Amino acid sequence: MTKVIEVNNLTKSYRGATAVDSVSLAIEENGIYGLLGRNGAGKTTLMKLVAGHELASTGEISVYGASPVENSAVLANMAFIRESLRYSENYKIGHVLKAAKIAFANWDDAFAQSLVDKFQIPRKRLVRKLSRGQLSAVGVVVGLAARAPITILDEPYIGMDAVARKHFYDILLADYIKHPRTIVLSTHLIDEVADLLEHVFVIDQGRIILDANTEDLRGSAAVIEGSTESVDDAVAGFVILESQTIGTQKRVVAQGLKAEDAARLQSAGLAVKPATLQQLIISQTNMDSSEKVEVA
Amino acid sequence: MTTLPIQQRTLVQRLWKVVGINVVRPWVLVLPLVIMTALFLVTGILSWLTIAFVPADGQLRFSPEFFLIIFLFLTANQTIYHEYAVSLSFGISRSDFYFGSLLNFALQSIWYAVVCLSIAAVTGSFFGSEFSGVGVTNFVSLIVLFIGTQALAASTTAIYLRWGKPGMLTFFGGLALVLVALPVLAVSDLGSELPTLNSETLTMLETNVIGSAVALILIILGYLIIRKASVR
Amino acid sequence: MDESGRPIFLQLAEQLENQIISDQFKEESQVPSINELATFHRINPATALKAINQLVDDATLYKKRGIGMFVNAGAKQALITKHSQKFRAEFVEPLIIEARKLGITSQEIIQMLGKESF
Repeated sequence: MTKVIEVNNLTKSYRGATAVDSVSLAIEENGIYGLLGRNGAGKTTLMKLVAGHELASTGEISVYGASPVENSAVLANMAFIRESLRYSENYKIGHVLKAAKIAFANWDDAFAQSLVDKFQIPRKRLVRKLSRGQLSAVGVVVGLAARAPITILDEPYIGMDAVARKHFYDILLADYIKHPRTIVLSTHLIDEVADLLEHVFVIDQGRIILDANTEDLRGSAAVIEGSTESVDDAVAGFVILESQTIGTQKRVVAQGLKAEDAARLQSAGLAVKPATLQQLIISQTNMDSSEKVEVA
Repeated sequence: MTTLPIQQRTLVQRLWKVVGINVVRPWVLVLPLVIMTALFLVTGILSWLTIAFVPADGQLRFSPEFFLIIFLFLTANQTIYHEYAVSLSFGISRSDFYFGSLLNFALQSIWYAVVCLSIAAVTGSFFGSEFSGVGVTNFVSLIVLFIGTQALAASTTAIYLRWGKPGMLTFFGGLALVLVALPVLAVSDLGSELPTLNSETLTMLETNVIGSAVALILIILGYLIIRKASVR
Repeated sequence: MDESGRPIFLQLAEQLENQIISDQFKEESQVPSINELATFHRINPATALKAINQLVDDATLYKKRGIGMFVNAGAKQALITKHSQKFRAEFVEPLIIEARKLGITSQEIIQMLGKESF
């Protein structure tokens, strides 16, 4: 696998506030990557840095082996659709698509037009008068029809209703299968999109606290429930991500359990269930972010 | 009968309340003042420039055509401001965006120069002075004027893109000082000793050379500023 | 796939195994492609590939170059044996743990099972 994006010890601070803090990560060619984290965790800033929209304070970013900043050759391979991207004042969807058609070498206009219909984006209304969900749909249309080898989508389905979100997941997957490329999408709403992601980065307070293959992650943590005493005995030695007590009952989210551990705990009368990705990430982001968790 | 807990105010009090709400943002009062002052300043500056830079062979006076320059300034400003984020999102570098926009401005300048000269050929009036015939010098000076204006717009917009409102205020504060100082210098005794401001010594060709140099400096400055600007 | 939090490739592999056991995919017949599986289940193709690869490693499926994935001869019987072993671990053992908690004897369990018709 070739690495298309490599970030090394990247920091971005604005007048003392650190938005991105010593981030290192690598993204390989052709995959769907998720950049997950709470609002304000640094997702957008990190994406802006990778797309060369923002200049790093310290550290390195390399895209196709070179800095993306002011590098026309590299940038021609990128589409970065920001959640808060403001299109020109008097643009209608037709103008956006026309501009995108001029800008992107691999632009598929027929596909773009079909997506506009599918998302029911009103063609006669000004883009700045569209609803939040429709505006997100405009970003999705441009981002996908661009067929850019590196496609970065910032909160692509924010404000979309359930039907539009389902369309988005289906279209993203189908188009990715037909035209494999590197897709990075950020979101703070994890549950629905989780199955589409091959790899996730979790960012919290500017730091990457989790960098793992989604499937490895799925088996890696468990929710254990039972009497306080037996739970405490059972989970000694594991990393506890979260714990709650009611009366003499205790529930913990523990990391690093192997299948045989789970079986042993179950026969000791404890309830053991694999933690969902959502549970795992929520408990991670509540943790002290100074420590990066390694996933076996 | 129960009394109302809050008694109705008088008509004057009620209306005054609305006035108060209307100007919760005092900016709505200040903005027209700013626009008027700016218009007054720009008109003044333009008429001063026509006097200061009048070539030895003509009697250029301020005329309404000069407002085309303000129009070009505004369209250039709007283009850079509105298309910047979208262009970068669509995988275009800042340099490509900036110089591509300048190419667009240059083409517009040529177009408007042709239009202006055509009008001048018909009406016999060329930017306030008597039209001396379609010549290369006239054509070049119009293009220099238009491109220079748009380069000024591009570089000031670059300041806004890079440093936001504080940068803009600093810039215009400084510019206002210069603009106020120049006419004062020009009319004072000191002004007559500045060779470049002495209209008697400048030919049309020299005006064009100076104008091109100023435009080029503005373009380079704008580039140096925008290449480090982030996208908001 | 389900919300249990188990790795999706395991869930998918298991589902395909069950479909082979129940003859939805007969031996020597073709199973859906990785892309079809990914699209149907709305999962990442890499995950579907992982499931298929596991079934190939277990000799449940085999690859016909340029055509697709097929069910191996003898795969059904092998899977039934494998799943019977799993049945004990997944169903019988928890049954015993729960019965012990409630004080139900093995005799009583057998009686209960005798009343069920299957």
